[in-house]
Amino acid sequence: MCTTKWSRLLLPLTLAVAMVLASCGPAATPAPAPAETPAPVAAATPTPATAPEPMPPAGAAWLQTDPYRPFPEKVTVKLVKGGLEAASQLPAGETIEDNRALRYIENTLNLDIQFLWVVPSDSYGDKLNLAIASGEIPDMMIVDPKQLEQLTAAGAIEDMTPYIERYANKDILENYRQTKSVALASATIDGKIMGIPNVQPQADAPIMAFVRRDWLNKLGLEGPKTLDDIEAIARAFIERDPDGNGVKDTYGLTGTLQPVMVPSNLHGFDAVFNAHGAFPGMFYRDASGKIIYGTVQPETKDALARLARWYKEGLIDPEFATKDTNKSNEIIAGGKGGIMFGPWWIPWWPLNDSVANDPNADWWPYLIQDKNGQYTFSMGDYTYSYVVVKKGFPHPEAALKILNVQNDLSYGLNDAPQFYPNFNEIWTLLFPIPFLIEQPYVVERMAREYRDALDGKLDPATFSEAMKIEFEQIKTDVANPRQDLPSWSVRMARLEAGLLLAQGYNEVRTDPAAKRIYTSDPNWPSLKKMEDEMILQIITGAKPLDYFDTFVKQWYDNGGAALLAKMNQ
Amino acid sequence: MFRKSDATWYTLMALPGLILLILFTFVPLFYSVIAFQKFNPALGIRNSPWVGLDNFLLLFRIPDSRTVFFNTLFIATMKIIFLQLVAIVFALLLNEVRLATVKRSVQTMVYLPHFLSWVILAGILRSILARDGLVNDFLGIFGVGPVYFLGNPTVFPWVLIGSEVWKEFGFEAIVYLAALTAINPTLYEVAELDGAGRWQKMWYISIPGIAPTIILLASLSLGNVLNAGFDQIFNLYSPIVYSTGDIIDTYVYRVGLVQGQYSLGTAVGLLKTVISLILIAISYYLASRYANYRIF
Repeated sequence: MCTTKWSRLLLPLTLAVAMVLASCGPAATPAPAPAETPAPVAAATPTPATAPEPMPPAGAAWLQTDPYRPFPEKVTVKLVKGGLEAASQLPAGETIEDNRALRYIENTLNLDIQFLWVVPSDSYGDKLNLAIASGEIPDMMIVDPKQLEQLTAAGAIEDMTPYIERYANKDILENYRQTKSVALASATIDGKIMGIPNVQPQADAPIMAFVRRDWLNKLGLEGPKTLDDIEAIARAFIERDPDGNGVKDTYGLTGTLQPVMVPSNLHGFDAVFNAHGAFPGMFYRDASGKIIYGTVQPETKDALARLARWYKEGLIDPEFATKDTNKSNEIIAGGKGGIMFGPWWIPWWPLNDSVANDPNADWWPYLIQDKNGQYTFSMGDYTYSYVVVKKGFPHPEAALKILNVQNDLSYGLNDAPQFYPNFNEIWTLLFPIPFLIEQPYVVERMAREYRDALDGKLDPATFSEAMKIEFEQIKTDVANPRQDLPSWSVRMARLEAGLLLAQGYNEVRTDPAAKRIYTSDPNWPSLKKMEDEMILQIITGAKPLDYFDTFVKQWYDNGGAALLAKMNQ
Repeated sequence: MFRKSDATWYTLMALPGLILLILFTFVPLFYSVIAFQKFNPALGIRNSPWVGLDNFLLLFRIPDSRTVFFNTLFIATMKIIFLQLVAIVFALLLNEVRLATVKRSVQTMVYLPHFLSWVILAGILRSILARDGLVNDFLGIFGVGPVYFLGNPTVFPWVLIGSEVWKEFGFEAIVYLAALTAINPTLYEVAELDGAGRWQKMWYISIPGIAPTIILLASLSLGNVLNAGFDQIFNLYSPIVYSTGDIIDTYVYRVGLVQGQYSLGTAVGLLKTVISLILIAISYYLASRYANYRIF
């Protein structure tokens, strides 16, 4: 009986731990990838430390435009904020509630920004949910798609449609345009734009194969272009002792218990599906313009057939189905694997561990083409969060104006002063609304610029301070490969992997309206579970390949058909 | 002696625990009404639309619920049966050990795992049950395997049952050992005079002596057949073993908290609470009928 009492006490604790873990799992943005930090192109012009009060230059023309014009009367904005635990990183004398970046925003727009509460990051979500449930919502806040929908249904937030085009600055509007209007469409409910969408870089979605060239050279093999090449290399890496220790202890392909997940799926098989023309997990439009679901298409069966064969022949880690990212990373870091599927940024983590342990580990990125020689990838969402304004707040455009000035502070535009040398590390603490509307294809753009600078076609003096530092690191590694680990990571990710993406690729993405329909559908969790199980069971041979057909029928019968009908209305 | 002034202090001492119990067990019960709503946090419990039994109808329609309820019942029942069986046998055997030091040290050793959390144990199990782990190395000597313990849906529930029994049987055995010491030693002496051997003494004295305890614990455990052990399973399972390893609690966690389907998650949880309540009522009835056990 004691057991049960104990476990009852333990349950909430485990839950709490699990939720913390879940929130920093692989699905979240990867910590060590600098791509996730905001302002790699920030122009950090040093400013005199004695600057009295941060003010925009009086009479600047941009100040008289709609996106920036100060309010005639001081407007009070009440916000909420997480990040309290990191506040010690701020320069001496500055706080979350009072710092130079915040005061610059207030002075520029004639605002008085107050915080209803500031809490540690891990309790922010709960506190916000509680605030929403109890109706004490701040004037502006960052919400996820589900909350956007719920707040809209409750009539608790302002319609932003009349404000976006008029008050967002041209950089932000351009970034929205580069998403082919998908970002704004995702914020549109019943024809009204209910929140200001963020835009995140797209490069994290395409999965490429990083392969050890030192092993390839040793075995006299070429780098891969197709899945057949990957197969041959994996077989050779297992059977022909690439690490030369006389023991058959090397893996072909690593894997993960979540073989399909967009974006940033380390060790995922997304690239294998994509090369077969299969886009599992995506609700996308087919040639006739109808929304279809990727997992139930025949191409998915072809890809599963190949993966099941690979598994049976031992080319895939036999225990991949119970390994998470960290477990599979151990194989790579330990020098026992020569092929790793992952996004462009994995040279920062975990490949750097492999090179640290073995300086000969010469990882190189390759894109895998489909049977038509094309590159097509399942893409993540441009947008995953929104800034919303509380219903009844008199100046909804203030949210856009704050985001405009924040954007200027991030990238050094419109005379915005650069106060902080470590801006990339503390921007979420400084900004009243820690939210970015980035260039969706910034990784590709930077790769091209670095290449042009290396080729002498572009003067590196025109780079921002952050890019100058990275460019020096790239040059260091080109001159002496793998001698300085941070330089190697920057060169592999930013230049070599970035250039592969910069060649261009086709995108398959979930329609934003479809996304809203399935995430709020009560049948969805059940369908998703069925799908996750099916993929793993077929690959590991627990179920025969033809079980796929049974699954497809069950999927349609248990709510899938209804879901698609709703999307295609 | 029991004095009235003591009663006040005892009540005061029970108060903190009582408050926690009310706060975290009884108060949330009232919020279970969201199982009958299409809950929207922005509207709150007061304004969220009522949908009657929709969530429960959905629950009975989706294939998951059957799997999840069956898995819970199967895993929990097997755990209860094997745990009690092993604990009884172990207690009887340990009772026969004459050397007090051996008896005590063995007892201490076997109940130590009870104090380890599943988060830690799961990590240990993952490495010893791995393909190149201890257990598979051992099985390899007999030409068996390698067995994919955590990735094979047929084997996985038995890993759960086996590891639970291993972790808890020492602790469960304490109750039986206590019951065994309560048996009047003269019974054994008399039996010896009559020429009874060890097996006969165990069969005719020890087992009948602890029978009320066995019946009591068995009927009380009925209230637990829907608790298959969240912390253990959550730390060991993965999508590939959902078909046999996913239980009500893990399902509620994924659907309700991870995927944000609050109402559906609550409906599953509420259903579990109701069934558990019925089972606990039956178990107390059985316990009082057959083992003369009463709380009230």
